[in-house]
Amino acid sequence: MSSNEQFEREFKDFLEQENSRVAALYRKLPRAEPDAKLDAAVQAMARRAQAAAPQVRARTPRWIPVLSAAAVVTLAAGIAFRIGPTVWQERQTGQLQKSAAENKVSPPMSAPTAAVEKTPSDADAFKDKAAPKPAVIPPPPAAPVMTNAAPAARAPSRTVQAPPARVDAPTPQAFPSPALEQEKKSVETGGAAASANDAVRAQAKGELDEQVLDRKRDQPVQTAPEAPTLKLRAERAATAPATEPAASAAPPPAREEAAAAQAELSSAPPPAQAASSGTAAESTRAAPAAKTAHLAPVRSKDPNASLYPEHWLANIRTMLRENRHDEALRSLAEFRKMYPDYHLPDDLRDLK
Amino acid sequence: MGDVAYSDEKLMLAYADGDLRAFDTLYARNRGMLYRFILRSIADRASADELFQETWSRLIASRERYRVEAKFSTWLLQIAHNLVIDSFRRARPQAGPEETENILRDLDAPESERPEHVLGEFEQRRRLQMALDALPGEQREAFLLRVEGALGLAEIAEITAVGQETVKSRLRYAFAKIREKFAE
Repeated sequence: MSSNEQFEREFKDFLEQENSRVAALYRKLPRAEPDAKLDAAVQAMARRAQAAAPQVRARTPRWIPVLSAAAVVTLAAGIAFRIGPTVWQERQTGQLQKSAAENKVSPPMSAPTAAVEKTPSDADAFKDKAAPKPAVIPPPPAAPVMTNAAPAARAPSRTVQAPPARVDAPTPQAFPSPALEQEKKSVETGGAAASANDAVRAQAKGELDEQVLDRKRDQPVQTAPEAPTLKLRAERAATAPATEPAASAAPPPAREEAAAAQAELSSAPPPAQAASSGTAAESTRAAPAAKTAHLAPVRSKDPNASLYPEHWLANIRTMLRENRHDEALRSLAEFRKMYPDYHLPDDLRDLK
Repeated sequence: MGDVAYSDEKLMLAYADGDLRAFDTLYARNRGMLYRFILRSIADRASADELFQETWSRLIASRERYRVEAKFSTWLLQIAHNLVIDSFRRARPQAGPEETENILRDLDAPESERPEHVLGEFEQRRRLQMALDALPGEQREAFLLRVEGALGLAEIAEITAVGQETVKSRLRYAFAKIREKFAE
């Protein structure tokens, strides 16, 4: 056996066995151990640590997490009670505003459809108040006025001042219509009708432009709730030559219309003023009325013709109560003329 | 607890739960091995005492975090190893070979084992001690962990934070030098 092999064998024994030759020799070295003092010190240290342990544990009693949880719950409840009603009110108000805006927007959405698809004499919009149509086509603003205009309403009036009664219904001003904004944007962006929606919109707009021109010739009465509509129309007319091919075909009328719309805008009450005249709730309640009023322009000489139909009917009832029977009958006749399809209440339906 | 039938690991867990008798048993089992490992690593009695106490102090402080992931002796020697390394880093002057020889010769050696009584064995132990003193620190530590702690390659590698092959290499060098010393 060579020395290398012997070395490897001894080294292997050293690694694998605890009683190798070198290990045995090592164990013969003096067995140094800690003295008694050191032992006592270490054991005392262990006892001290063990004695201090309960104190350490006592510093974190179990009631702390429970108390913390209770505090968090109390805090959360406090915040909820403090903020909750406000948030709830805001949410409720938001919903009311949203519904009001929808009610306001829906007539222009449905009316143009009706205007495009139906004859001008079709005034079913009054009956469709409870079932608004889906907003497929954004509203060309003046369309309802034109399409729902009765033949008798083609009065040569050039009145541009808003009737005072319109201030009672600030909804159109209080809640800017998103649909109108969308319409405005689409007009601003102009360009080719990339989508089917745009194509339909352009077609409807073309027809409505013609109606606007007719209206321009007829000079119908403008009312305050149409202020946003007029504003949009003015902007539309101003941008029409650059963006709308249909409109560019007749630039002078468009400019005239823009001027007329601006004039009407200047005479209309400012939105803030109108908005300040009523609460949100009132606006919400007045929204359907505003819708119908928007669809039924003033075409009668009856002083109540500028009122919402419901208010008009209320005035008729007042006349009846005040024994102004003839006046009431005349007013009712005017009402029937203006709103031939309006579903009259029972007490007035058979009034003679 | 405190029964010698229990393993070191169970004793340590019992001590962590508050059983002082378990600690006493644990201490009695390991005090000599630990002390010799430290003493032979740094060859300075005062420092060895200090490190020995510090080792147990750290063990006591971390008793609640103890988990049975390795042999108790491995964990204990790892604490001591770290302290020894820190001690080396502080560059405290080590005792020279002659001083070490005198210390080890006088320390706690049973009277029957004193060199003057057994001259032949003394000569062997003296040569072994000189060989140990001549070893580089890493080799000496690996050797002590092997023969004093009775640890295997894997455990030594874990304590010294090196690979097993490195440990094996260190042990080989240490073994060769000690063997050579005996061959003189």
